[in-house]
Amino acid sequence: MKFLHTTFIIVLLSLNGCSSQQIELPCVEKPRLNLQDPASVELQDISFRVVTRENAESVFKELESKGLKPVLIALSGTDYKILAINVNKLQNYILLEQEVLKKYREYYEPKK
Amino acid sequence: MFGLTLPSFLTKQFIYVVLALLGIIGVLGLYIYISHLRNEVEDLTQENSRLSVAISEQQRVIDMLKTSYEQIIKEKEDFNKKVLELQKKNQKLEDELFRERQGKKSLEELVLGGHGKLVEKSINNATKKVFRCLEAATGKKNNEICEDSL
Repeated sequence: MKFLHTTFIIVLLSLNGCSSQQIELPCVEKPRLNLQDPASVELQDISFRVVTRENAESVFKELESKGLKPVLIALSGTDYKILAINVNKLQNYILLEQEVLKKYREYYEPKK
Repeated sequence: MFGLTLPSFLTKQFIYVVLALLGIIGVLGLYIYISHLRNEVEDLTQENSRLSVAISEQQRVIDMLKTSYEQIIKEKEDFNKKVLELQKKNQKLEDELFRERQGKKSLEELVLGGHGKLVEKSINNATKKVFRCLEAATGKKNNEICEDSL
């Protein structure tokens, strides 16, 4: 019984000692991610052909003379215009994303 | 006078002694009070210098925040300018493609009017330029065809 009392008092005292201790954590800066920019893309050129009723036959013959199959994956005039606008929108999006990235870098990682 | 008689222990010497004791107590009290005031002045001086440091630190933080907010406002303005610039370009492209909206002949009409080769050439040149601009947007250097890269 006396042993229990002594143990209880020791535990109580040691707990009391812990409560008064202040733990100061060092301020450590988060390591940088340092991701490399992806390599730039290189796009292959393509060639559009304008085909009408009048020149359709000559266009197909021209394809065959170049060793290509006489097949065209065609777009109407309106679809071509929509495609051009869509590509332009994507290009603008890429440009704005790059601008955002640049500005974040300038703000959070200023050159010292 | 008035029939008052002083007690026998209130002699002149006794009164002097009491007055002298009171004087000593007064001087001691004054000394203790002045010491207390000195300590207080010292404490307050230390507190003042501590507060001065805190104020200069806070001023530094305020200046830093002010600079940051100014930079944020400037960056946002720059970005909005860029967005407007690109919107204008987009509108210009739409106008070029949908010529009929301005009362001009449409691309299809130009082709049917015998300008097929011309339309084809301009479409291919524009496509080439878009590709070069996309390359430039992904960071490719030395791109003379595209002037749009940021």
